[in-house]
Amino acid sequence: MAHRNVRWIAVLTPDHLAEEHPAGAADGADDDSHSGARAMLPVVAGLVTALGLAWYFAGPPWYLDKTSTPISRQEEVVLIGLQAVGKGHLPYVGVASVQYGPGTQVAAYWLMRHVTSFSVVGFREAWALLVWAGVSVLFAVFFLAFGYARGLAVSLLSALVYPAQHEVAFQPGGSYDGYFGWASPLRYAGVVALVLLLPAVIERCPAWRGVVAATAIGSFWGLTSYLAQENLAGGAVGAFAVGGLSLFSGSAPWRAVRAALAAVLAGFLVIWTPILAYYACHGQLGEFLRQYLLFPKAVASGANDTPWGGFTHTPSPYGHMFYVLPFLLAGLAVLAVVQVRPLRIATQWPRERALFLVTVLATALLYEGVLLRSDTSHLTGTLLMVPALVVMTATVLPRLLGAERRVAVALAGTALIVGSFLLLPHKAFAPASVRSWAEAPFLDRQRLAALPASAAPETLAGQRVGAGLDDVSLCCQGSPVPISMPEFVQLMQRIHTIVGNRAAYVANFRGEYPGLVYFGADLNPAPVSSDPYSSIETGPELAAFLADFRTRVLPQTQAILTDSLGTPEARYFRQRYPNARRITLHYAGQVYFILLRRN
Amino acid sequence: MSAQDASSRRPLTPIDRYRGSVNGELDNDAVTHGAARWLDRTLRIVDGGPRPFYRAAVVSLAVTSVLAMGIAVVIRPQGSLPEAQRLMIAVALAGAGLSAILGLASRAGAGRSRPGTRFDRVVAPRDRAAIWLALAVWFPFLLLVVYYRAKATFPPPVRYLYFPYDDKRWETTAYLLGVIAPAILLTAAARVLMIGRGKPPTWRAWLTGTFVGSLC
Repeated sequence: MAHRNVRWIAVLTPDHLAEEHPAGAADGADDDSHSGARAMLPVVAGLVTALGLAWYFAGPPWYLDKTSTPISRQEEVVLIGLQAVGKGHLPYVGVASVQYGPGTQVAAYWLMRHVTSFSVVGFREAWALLVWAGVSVLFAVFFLAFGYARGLAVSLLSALVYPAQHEVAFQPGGSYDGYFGWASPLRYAGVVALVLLLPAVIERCPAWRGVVAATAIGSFWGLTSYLAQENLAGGAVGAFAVGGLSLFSGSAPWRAVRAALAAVLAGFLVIWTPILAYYACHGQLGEFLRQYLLFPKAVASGANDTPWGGFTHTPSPYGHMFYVLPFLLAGLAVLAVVQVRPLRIATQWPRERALFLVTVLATALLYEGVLLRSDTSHLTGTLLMVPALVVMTATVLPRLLGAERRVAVALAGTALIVGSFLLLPHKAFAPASVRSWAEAPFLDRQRLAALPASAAPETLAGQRVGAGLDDVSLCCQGSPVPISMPEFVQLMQRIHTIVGNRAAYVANFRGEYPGLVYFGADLNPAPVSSDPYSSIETGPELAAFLADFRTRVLPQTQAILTDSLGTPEARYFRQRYPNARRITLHYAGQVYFILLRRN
Repeated sequence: MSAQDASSRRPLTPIDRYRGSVNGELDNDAVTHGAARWLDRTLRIVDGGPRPFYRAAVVSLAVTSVLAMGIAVVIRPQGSLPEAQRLMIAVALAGAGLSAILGLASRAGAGRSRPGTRFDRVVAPRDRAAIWLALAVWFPFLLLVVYYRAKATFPPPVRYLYFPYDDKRWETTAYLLGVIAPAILLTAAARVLMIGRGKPPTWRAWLTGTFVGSLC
């Protein structure tokens, strides 16, 4: 039936079919003139360069045991889940719940258990491994999608000028440091890889090589969606947009688009089916999905969202980028689908036009995230793609706009790159800054390698903090008063000695998240329905949590840790166990209570 | 049966096809007369150049403006009209006024044939048709922005414990409609019209042609 319906298309006027030669036609000629090995050479060279650059800028050794950065609140948020998994709880649900991706928790736990160490330092090393993997993937995708020269330019711009990869990196004149537990390119790498590589995959579909490549990309998208929710929606919208644009522009046949998208979905399901089956087997599928979607749904409907710079409008050097970029993206997206001289809507896109459009699309999809929680940190997802947008605009747009002479194309491209720097603060592209970021990985490693190795901590609490960090002068970023790490370690060791392996609930802890105490004192978390600081968002949800705590969790709880006996959980505990033993500790000039149930 | 009239080598129109069906030349699953008549009329519009699509865009803008005013008036918290609603009504009034001016201009220019004008050389008529069609489809989507902007004037439905709250759905909707939708709509409109100019024999063939691509 389909064939009968499409037969009449052959009478279409020929000029529509021959406006621009599709990339596939050129490929055939290339295949004839190049041997397979020669064609593979730039790809292999690109991948080797990408991995080499990724190793230099983000790879080991990191010498994290020689870093004195205090434990951050962001790390504390994820530590409770890791501790709960370590004590046998199901990952990502119940007491192990976190608002971030389930795969990141599982990957960090596995790396800490088998590759690094089960400590704060070990967590940072695990995070560094994830960041290294993310940077490697991003650079590889840039080289694969844009070719060697442009891939190199994009990668170097990302590493040296734009701040996204500086969130966790070798800091100039410092050490490998940053926003552990939050900043990771893997949060966005799935969208980037899927959207940028999909046109090339569609071009090869439905041949088996195309289908295999689409399945691989779909698997990676599935994996990164498991690692971070940001990849799921952005990837889905991006894939459908690329498929639709390929179809409507006449750049790809329906069969190719259908085969590519089906293979992407199949690859996605290869990753997700076992995950969903695992939780279904444990009777926690609903809870897993609820937790996975909890934060994205809340953020989409307004929770956690702010104007640019927050409600206090904190100044940011990236204000220009935030305000101007969407208008640039809107203009570039339209320019990507029109031809000039004469002005017309482009059909039968060549590879360059398709690549330019998907670059705009990927940047636009990543930008949407910063529209919600609008601050410099959340702009970093977009800034991972902006270097690619700059390079592709400079190298493709002049020709799309009708420039033909090489000089004109080169001048226009240079002007576009220079113009793009107007969106950045001056210090970002100042030669001294670029040089310092280029040298930092080498100089930091050299300097840190020369420092003496740290001795292994003797106490369990010290081991939980990790060698090298257990004796630093400042314990934690959230402390209301400065507390040294040895003092903190001493308290954690004392708590561990008192509580032991009892099922414990930490209600709060002096300006820090309870995860710090669970992890630092190696406590056995009581089986609460979720982490109240991470997965409880609203008043009604908190009421439901407390009701569940009172009826279901209390009978299974043997210890409560709190800085005030007036907290609801402490009151419930004392009502239920009036003979509970109360131990008063002192920390940061304040009291800290441990309530122990008598057997 | 061939999809072309063998004597003139021109594509069959749906009415031709319907007549063939009546004469027993087509299968029983041929299109019905009513559908064919609508298709025929639509295909004539497609062949009629950009003017019908320009009018469709103007009507779309007018209807969208009126509906936007309605949404802004109806969806609001109790009390006086919030600033956001007043602004939306003002913008919608401007849109309605613009559509009226454009409609009058179109009516005044009706009947004048201007083949080969300089404007045609800048933007070909068929591309202008696609642009107007894309705009005609795009305008009503703006009602989503209006709706979410109006909803954002309500207080939060629940109390969030640790997070700030700022309903920005209207911003993300406006962003997606402004950045991603135009490229998709322009490309889709051009495709739909291009397939339409090929005289698809049925609505289904038109739809299939829009999605099937270049017959690879």
